[in-house]
Amino acid sequence: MEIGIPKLDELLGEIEEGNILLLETIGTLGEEIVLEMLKKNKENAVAFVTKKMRDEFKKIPELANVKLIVLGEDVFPEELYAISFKLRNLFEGAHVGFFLLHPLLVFHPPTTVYKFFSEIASIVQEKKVVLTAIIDKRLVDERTLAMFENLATYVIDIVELIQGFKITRGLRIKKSPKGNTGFYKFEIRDGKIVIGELIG
Amino acid sequence: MYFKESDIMTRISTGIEGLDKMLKGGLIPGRSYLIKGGPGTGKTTLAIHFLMEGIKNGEKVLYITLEEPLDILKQDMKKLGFDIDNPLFMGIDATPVGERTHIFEGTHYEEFAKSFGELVKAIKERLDTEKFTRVVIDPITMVKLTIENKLEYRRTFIGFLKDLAKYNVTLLITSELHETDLEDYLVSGVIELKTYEIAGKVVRGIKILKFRGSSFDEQIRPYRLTDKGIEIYSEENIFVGD
Repeated sequence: MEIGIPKLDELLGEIEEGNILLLETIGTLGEEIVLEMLKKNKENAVAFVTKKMRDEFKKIPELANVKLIVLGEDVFPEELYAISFKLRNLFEGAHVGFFLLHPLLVFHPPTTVYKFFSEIASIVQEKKVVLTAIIDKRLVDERTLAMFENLATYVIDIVELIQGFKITRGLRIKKSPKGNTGFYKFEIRDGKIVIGELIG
Repeated sequence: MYFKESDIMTRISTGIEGLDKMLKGGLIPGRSYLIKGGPGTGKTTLAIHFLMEGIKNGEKVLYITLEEPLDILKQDMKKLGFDIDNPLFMGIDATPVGERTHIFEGTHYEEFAKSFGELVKAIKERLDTEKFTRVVIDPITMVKLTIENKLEYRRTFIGFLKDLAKYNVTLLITSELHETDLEDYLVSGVIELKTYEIAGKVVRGIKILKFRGSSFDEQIRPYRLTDKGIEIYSEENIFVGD
């Protein structure tokens, strides 16, 4: 599978079925990467989203046909098993965007969410699904983040450096069978991801 | 040659697909099982699933209620889509306020409480006159709580289970008592229905504590009480914190 962002695809390499791509970020910075992945693979794309995200999806024509599983409607944060059940019953080879780690980390202790995510990783492998999840680094400690990283085959790390009024954003491949990279300049212009030169 | 465990020993379905999976094919017939759980966990619904499955196979089944009046139970079960008026379903109301059927006529719940033997005798008389394959006693809680002679109860209970085996009846007994007691040791299997509160919402879990003669799924599995009865997520985990 390719994400659909040439520079990122070049850095990551082909993503094999049955694997997890974890996007570690601040807030929702860079969630466009997951959206691009869904657009690129829209024929068999599925997304686990909040109600707010569902409304955002509606505004994007390329995502109109993506199957959505909505938190608070189709599944509930207290019932983690219902989320794993939905994933288990998806068609083989689905490309899944998973946007629920943030609300789940608010509802449950990080270790519970980690146990749940371990189950998700098993299902991803068994069902030959590619799952891209986004996690806000501020919601978990380093140890927990490392545990999440262990479950993913690919990890993209997004950082934000503020110096005075200057904000610099960087992106690196933290984990991939193809190898790690240094930080690349990372911007979002008109809703599009732009990956620039190596920083430093 | 490879045999699946379910092939080696005959199994009967509980009427709940997820529970059959947890039991590696279903219950072993001709034995007795205990269903434990607090109020509202779905013990009666599980028991009715079990009886309805028998009816689906053309079997006669017997349901004895000791707490909830039979007519109320029937109303509730009809709402879940159970064919409770099927002539193969025999319901006996042994509650203090319920309508009596002839075998239990004049024998009251309070008397059962005083003597478990009275209840057993009445059931055996019923089994002598008609061939039932599945029997439910729902629940045994009050009988147990008011028992005066524990030794007598134990003796009668053991004898009852032996007799039932002769009739080749599969028995489900429900109980609201959580602590391990006599029945837990004497029956062939114990299934517990539990509830957890997560952020103000009740999440339900089912666990097999014991199942003689078979391996079983030892994990607590989530379940829901739906408008069609009990639905068990036999592959999922419950994730209830640390």
